[in-house]
Amino acid sequence: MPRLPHTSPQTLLVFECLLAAPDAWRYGYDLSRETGLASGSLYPILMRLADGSLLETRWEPAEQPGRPPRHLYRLTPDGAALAAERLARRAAAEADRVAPAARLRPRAAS
Amino acid sequence: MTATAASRGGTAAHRVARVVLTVALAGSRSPWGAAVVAELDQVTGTRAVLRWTAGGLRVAWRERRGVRRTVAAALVATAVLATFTVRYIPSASMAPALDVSSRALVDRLTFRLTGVDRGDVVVLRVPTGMGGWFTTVDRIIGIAGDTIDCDEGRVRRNGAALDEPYTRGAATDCTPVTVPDGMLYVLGDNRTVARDSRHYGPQPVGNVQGRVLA
Repeated sequence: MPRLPHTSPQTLLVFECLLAAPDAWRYGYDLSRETGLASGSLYPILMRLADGSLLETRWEPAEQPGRPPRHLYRLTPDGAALAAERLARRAAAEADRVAPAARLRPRAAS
Repeated sequence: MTATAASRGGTAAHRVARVVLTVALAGSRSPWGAAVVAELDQVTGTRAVLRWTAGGLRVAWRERRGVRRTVAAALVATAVLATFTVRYIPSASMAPALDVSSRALVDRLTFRLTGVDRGDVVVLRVPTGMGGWFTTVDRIIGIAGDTIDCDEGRVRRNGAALDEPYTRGAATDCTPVTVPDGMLYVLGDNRTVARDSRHYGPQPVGNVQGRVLA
């Protein structure tokens, strides 16, 4: 089975961060600080999400002349739904890892 | 916007980072590189700026397939040039197939993977016996286990006379020898002038420098 897209730990960090305030437009630098991801990890993730229409982007006009405009990011409704699903999937997988020890122990020696 | 140390231009690290990224992004049509550069104003501290810039270079690399193709092509070209070299033929010992001071295309790599065989023309390093080396171009006549001898001017391998049109009928005179493991018996085509295994005996395969292609 091919690996499910958008499930890497790094992508999930970005999802958590964006879902914390789903309607807010976020700066790349702030996302980098909050997730602890270096720009070289963060931006490729943002690029992939934007390619899949999971992330919308816009340019914020510079407040001072001579400053470059900044790029802003927000999950699309599709993106928010996928992010919630992926985070829930990880939570379920973690619960599964902790629990089954008790379930599997009583095993008859053959 | 937050007030950063960056008034216009920022610290030296910011300025260097901006130049580096601008160069890396020149000609890019995608917005992502510019997005990384725009955030540079927020980054404080030289180490953080360097980290941010390194990430920006990764982004630039990712989004610029043209550059990636160019770099890949350059690497392939370098590998090819390192493998195939043109060198001058140092002597008349391989005439008339290879004339002295004519040029030959030499493959320096693939013979290491495929091995060399009888009939191959190779560039060979031979010890002078006085601590130095000389380079010669010769044809492989015998490989490990072959017994080479000469009979009435014709070279015989394991008792069978060789058909050697490349010698133009020159007579060959040699001492019988069985080629040891890991060694090669080589002869120059121009039997009357060549110095080869008739003089210095079989040579280690490891001293082969390349195989002549053309």
